[in-house]
Amino acid sequence: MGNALKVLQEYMGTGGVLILFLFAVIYLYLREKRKPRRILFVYVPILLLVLILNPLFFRLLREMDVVYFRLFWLLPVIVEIAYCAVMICETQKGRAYAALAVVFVTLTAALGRPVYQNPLYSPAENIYHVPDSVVHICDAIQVPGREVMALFPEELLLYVRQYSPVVCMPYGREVLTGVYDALHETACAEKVDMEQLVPLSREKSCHYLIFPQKQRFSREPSDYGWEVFLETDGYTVYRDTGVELAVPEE
Amino acid sequence: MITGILIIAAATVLLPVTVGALVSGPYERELGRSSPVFRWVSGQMILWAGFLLVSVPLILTQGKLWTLLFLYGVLSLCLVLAAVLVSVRRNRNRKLRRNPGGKGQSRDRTAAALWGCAAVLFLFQLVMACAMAYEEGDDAYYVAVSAVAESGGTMYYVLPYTGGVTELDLRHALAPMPMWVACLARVSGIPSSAVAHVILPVVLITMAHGTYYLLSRRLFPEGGRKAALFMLLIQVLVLFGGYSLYSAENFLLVRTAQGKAILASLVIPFLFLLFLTIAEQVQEEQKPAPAVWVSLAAALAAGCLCSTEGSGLVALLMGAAGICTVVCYRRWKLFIPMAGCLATPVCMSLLYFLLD
Repeated sequence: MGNALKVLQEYMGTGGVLILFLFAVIYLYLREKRKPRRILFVYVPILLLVLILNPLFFRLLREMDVVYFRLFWLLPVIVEIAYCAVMICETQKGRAYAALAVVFVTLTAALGRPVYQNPLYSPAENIYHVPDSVVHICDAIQVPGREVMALFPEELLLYVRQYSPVVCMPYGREVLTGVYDALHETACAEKVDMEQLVPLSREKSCHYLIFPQKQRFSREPSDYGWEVFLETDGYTVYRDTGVELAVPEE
Repeated sequence: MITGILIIAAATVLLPVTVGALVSGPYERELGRSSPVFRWVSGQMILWAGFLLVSVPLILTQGKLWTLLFLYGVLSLCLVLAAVLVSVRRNRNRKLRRNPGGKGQSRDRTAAALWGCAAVLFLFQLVMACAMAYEEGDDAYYVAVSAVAESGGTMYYVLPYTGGVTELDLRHALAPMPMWVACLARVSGIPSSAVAHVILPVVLITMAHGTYYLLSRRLFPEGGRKAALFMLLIQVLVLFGGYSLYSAENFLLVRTAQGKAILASLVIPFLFLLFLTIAEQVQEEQKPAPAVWVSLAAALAAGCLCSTEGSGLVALLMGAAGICTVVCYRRWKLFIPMAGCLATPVCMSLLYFLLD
């Protein structure tokens, strides 16, 4: 069971909700007499758990490249916990009922973790939920009737093509997951080596190159035919005049 | 922008509510009144099932989004016409039986307070979905692939990360939920990023809680404080579902418009509702109505639209629930309609293995 249990452990995180769920399964096994509900809340979860935690089943699905944690979505976790809590509360009346309800609400909150506490959340800057800098830069460099190739800094890679499908990039999200790209390595250096970067960026036909304003270069970008096209939101957008950008006639 | 929002509201609320009339008959007869929530969710499942059947052949033959949009429009129109006919016939043939646990029921103060708390927490989720942005890596794929289709009409033949041309991305192409997002963006004129990050989360989070509401009515037909406390606990469990990055609750709030999130927090809970309905009807010595099987088949097909793995997941759930129901009641004949409902997931899985 080892590996499947590890996935379950990862899926259930802190484990508090898993404990509540298993408690609910056992409680309903002992107390729930209505057959349709026993099927949904007792037999189906047990059958699924036996199957999912089975090492042979785990090995089989792993060989098929299945993302295993998704199998745990099949367990009616929150429905079962909420149903069980209501059934327990209903055994009481008056103040005892209210007290028990408060206990369950507090317990479910205490054993979980607020979704919005995730540090990857930030106040939305616009209706597109991408950084304003992406909106401003993409709007500025777009050319009607054709695509443009632009090199963006790492922190903007996820957002560019969500906002504008006509802005292409020489590399995208894959470099953030460890895929090697020589242009990316060169462009992300603390001090960019222009002798190395310019041939690589021209090989990929980059019309525009975007860097943080404080970016340091080995030599002046203007020496290589880069013109400052725009300065916005802490970024400098360079236009490489060595790469032709033909505007289609209307 | 307002016209665009109204168009999306029509496509994701009005259209499904209308189409849902095709299968809501048995549910509403039992309830004793019409149920717009059931119509909404079941109608959307039928529309998603239809979208899957139209889009996959078109994607495999390098069709354009415009063609898909046209065919989906024609299909939706046919479904609406059929639903209107069914509704007219149904209204002519019967009067709804009033259920004492229905709308007219007076609620006690505890129930009202619990419903109030649940409503506040629900609205909080909607506000946060609009006001907060999440740095979600997978959106760089899903939203970009929708944006590419919306803008150029090309479906799965462009690398979403960079814009380069590629061969068909089969793993994602057989679960074309992003193309549904692209269709909504195209008809509304609102960019895919805004549709996926702001408008659809509002719709889909509401629909997911609508499904939980339907479950609460099924589990506690008398309503009152039981259903209210159930819904309050569901809200708390969803809001505090950040105990793991992989939980269905976390997916619902963080990756709402991604197919995986729709599968985990909308399709699978709706399947639970249908399994419970079937088991209760079998318990009462009734034969489950054809409309229930149609809803089940549609929800299973919707699972395939959400994720390539969705085909296997919903089939596994169907298998587990089906075996338990059949064995518990010794009603072996139930295997026949159950097998029929599994046709789409099985075909999609076979298609994946054949083409991969």
